[in-house]
Amino acid sequence: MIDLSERTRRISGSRLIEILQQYDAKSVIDPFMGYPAHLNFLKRHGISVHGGDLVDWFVRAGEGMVVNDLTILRDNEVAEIVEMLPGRIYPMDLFKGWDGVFFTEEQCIYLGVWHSNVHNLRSDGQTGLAIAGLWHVLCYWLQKSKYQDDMADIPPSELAWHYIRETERLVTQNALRNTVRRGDFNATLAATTADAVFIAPPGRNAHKKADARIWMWEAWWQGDPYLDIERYYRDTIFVQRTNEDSSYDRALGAVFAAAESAPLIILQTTLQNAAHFKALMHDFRPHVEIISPHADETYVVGRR
Amino acid sequence: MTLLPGFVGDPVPAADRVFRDAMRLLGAVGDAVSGRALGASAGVASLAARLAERHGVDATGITAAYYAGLLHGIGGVRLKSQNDGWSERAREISRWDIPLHGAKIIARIGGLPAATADMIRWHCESWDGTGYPDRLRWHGIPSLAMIVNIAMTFVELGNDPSEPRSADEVMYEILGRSGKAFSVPLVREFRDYFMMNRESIAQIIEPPLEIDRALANPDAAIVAIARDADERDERSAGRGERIAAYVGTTAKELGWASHVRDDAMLAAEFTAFGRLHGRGVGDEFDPLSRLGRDVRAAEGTAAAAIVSIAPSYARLAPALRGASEWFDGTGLPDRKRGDDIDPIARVIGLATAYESLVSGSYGLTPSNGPSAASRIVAASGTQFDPTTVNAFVKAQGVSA
Repeated sequence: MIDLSERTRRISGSRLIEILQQYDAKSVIDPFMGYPAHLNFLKRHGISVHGGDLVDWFVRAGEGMVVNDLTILRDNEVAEIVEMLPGRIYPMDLFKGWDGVFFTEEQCIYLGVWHSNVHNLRSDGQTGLAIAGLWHVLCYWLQKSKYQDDMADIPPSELAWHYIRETERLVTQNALRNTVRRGDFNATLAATTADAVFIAPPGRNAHKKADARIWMWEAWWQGDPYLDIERYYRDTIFVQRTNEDSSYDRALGAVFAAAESAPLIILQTTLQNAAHFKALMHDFRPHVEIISPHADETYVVGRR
Repeated sequence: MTLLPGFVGDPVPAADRVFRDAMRLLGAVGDAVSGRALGASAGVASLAARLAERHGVDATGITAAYYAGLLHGIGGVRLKSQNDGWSERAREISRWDIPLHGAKIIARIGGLPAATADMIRWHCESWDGTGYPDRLRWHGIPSLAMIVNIAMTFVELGNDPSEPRSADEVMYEILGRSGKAFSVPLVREFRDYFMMNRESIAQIIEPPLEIDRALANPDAAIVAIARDADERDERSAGRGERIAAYVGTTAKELGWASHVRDDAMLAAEFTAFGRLHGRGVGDEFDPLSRLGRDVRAAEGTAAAAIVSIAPSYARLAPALRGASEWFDGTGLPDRKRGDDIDPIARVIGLATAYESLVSGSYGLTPSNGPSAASRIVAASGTQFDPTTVNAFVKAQGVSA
């Protein structure tokens, strides 16, 4: 049985938009995007959003939920994702390495089938929606492996259908340019300009504590059940020098410096760390304040 | 404004009672705007408070859970009226913001525990990340918000007229959503609580009031929400406030005591609650014609039903219910005549009609003051009480 994290950082689009509106910001860049539900919220409320991440499936999900304005999936297209198609040859043992460890044999076969079917989709929007939708299935299965008797047994294709349709409800447009890209914060911040930069940086040594539900889905998308997501972060500044506290501050300072062109920087942290990060941000912004609607959800906001 | 005029006794319990009643009234407003039976939210609140206690939170947390359950639907009053041109998808997306509207409203109500607003903001989130408004997932959702969601689901499924279910069936429905809508440990807690308290689970309770009394101002909270309700539709924006102003000056002219005048103005503001459902159809007709009386009466009746939920405000119900009666006994809903009609209702009915004429609400061509006043005077003795008409015309400084 896999150990699932008991803590989830709350990234709330509804909270973020209140801060953006307070400072009259109409566009935002999130260089540490993660699962982009919050960017979808902001897009839905008329903010132009730009996200970046090192994890490819987050970016693909962003193609479906953030960049995509119109594309949805017809019933037959969903069916072609969730079921084995006659005449197509599937790599049935692609995820055999997970069999009996995390999943049942049937689930591993479905993961292989879905991997193949999703990679055969031609539209970025549809691919993103399928990746994001099927991810919920993986989460459900991992959770069920922990709570075998508490959760309903639902056929894989039915569960997949349900979650793809759920994800598809997010498709919306705001008549603005919205982008996502795969890259580190420097690449994302250099690629576009916006009124605000939202920073929810990885924690100290976060790469070593990645949630199974995140790294396994990247492994699924890459078709490599043995993929080590740690290597994505190995060369980033948040990993190189984390043995000392000041290295983390320097890394954060590098992000603040890269966000120089944005009038507003919003750093999400906890109330416990807010004063420290406020002092750090003062080196880059003359006006810094703390907005703390909740101890676990505190924002350090820096203005020029 | 003064509530409980002439009250003698310990002011703290009286203030607490008024606060509780005000919240109960707002719960009924949330029920009305959500299309639920009035009072349904009290069931959600009771169960949420019990589950919160079972979860092991402190007294403030229990109070927060209770009021989040009671007021979970209040955000609907800020949902803009949707015309027929809206697609089903646009309607659905706009509904995703109801919890967010609710959180903003709750944050404005002084005295409630700070956590209440966040519990309302996130009570529609799902454990698996498919809820709204934020699509939070897993432990990112506050456990008390999820407790409110479980309580809401229990009450809604139990009261679903399209598919009657026993309490046991509802419990199994919730178990079936374990790991999807709700976290497994919380569903287990709910199941255990249900098994131990099957007979009493639907009982309405009220936990001890853990609020900041210095900040509590229940009248102001209700008036603000009534104004929100009018803002839903640009045609009715500010309407209750304008009617209240007309009522206030007329009441003064009539020489009413200040507490009666306050009551009259409060009732005038509360007329907005009658407009939660309708689109002002009644006022698409001339307010001095007999056409649309039934719709206007329905609005008054709906507002009266809402205030009747809360004993501290129930005294205003006759004023709201009777506002569409005619002085000659041909009005609705009760065909009362003359002095049988509540005096405040007579003033509110007149002020409402005048406001419609002057503002051109709901597509009427706006009249100027004298023109509207002359029409009001012409209806004296038939639709309106002559004494009230005289005072009204004098108070507004318009001559017919």
